[in-house]
Amino acid sequence: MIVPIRLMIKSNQPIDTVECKIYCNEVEFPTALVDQGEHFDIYQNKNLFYATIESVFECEQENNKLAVHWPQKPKADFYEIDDIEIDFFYIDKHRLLKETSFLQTNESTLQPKPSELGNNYWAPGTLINNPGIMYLTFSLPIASWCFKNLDDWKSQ
Amino acid sequence: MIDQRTIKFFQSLPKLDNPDKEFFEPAFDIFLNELETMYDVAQKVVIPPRVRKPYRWYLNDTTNGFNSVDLCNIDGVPAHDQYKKMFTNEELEQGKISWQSEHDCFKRALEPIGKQWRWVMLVRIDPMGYWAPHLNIPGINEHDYKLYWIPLNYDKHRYFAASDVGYFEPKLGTAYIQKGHIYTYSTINLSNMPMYNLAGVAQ
Repeated sequence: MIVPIRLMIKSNQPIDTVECKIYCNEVEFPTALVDQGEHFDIYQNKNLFYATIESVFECEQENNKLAVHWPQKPKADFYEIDDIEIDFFYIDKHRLLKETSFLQTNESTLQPKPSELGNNYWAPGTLINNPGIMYLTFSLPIASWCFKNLDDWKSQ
Repeated sequence: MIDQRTIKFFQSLPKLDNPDKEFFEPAFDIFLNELETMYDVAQKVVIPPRVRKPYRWYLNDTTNGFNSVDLCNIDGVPAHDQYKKMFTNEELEQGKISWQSEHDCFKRALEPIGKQWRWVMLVRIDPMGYWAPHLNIPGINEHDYKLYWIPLNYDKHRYFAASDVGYFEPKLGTAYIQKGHIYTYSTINLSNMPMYNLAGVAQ
C-alpha cells in the first residue's frame, strides 16, 4: 500500500534545514520539509521551534520497518522527534518512547538494527542529538478498523 | 509535495505485476541506447520546478486550445523562446512537428511503429510528485484518445495507475499505450530521482 508519513521534530533552537533520510523496509524514499515555525509546548511551558517533513512510501500491511537516518549531527541541539503520523496511524510521544530505538553511528548508509542494546544502541530513541538511525516497527491499522474480527478477515 | 487525492487514488487500487492490457498496453520495445540518448537530452530541457501548476511543456503551438505562452514562461525567458529551442515550426507545416536537430532523438521515438508525433510533451515528475493526463491533454477527444507513453529513465517505486484496475511499475525499454478516458489515469514517483517521460499522440 502507498502510504504518506509525516514527522514532526522539535528543538530549542530554530530549525532551518533537516538533513535526514527515511527508509521503509530498507528502501530509501524521498523527503520534503513542508512546514517549520515556532509553537508553545505545554509540557515544557515555553516556545519551541518545530519542523515537519513528509515522505511517501510503499509498505506491507504488517511488520514494516521504518528507519529515520541522520548521517550528520543535527545543526541544532536537543532535536527530538515529537510525533509521527503514518497515514491514519498516529504515533505520539508516549509510543515513541516505548517503541523506538536509536543507533548512534557515523555511517552514511543504512545500518541493520542491532539485536541487543549496547553502548551505541539504546531505547527510547526520540532524542537525535547525534548522527544515527531511529528504528520503529509498525503495522497499518486500517484492516483492524474496517473489520471487527480481523482473524476472520485474514482467513478469507 | 504530497498530493492527498493522488495518495487516496492509489490506496484504492491493487498493485499489479504487469499492466492490464485494458489500461496500459505495451506497444513496442525501444533500444536502451536510444532511451539513454533521450534521457540525456531530456535532462537539458528547461522545465521549471512545479509550483501548484501542472506540467504543460512543449505541446505544439498549433494544437489549438493550448497556447505555449501560458505554459513555458520560465524565469523571465519568453515562452516562445523556450519553444524555439525544441521546435523550428513557426506554424504547422503539413501537420508535422519540425524538431531542432539536437532533439532528433525524440522525433525518432515512434519509428519502430512507423509513426510520428502529432503532438508530444516531455513530462518530468519530481520525487513525491504526480501527474495525470487530464492535466495536459487537449480535451477535444478526451473520450477517444490513444496516448503513447515512453518512460525515459528508471528508478524504483514509480507507478502508473488506472481507476478500477490497479497500478504497476513500468519497465524501461517499453513504450506503452494509454487509451480511454483521460481522467482514469495517474502516475506517482516515489523514488529519489526525477522521472522523465515522453508522452503524446501519434499520427
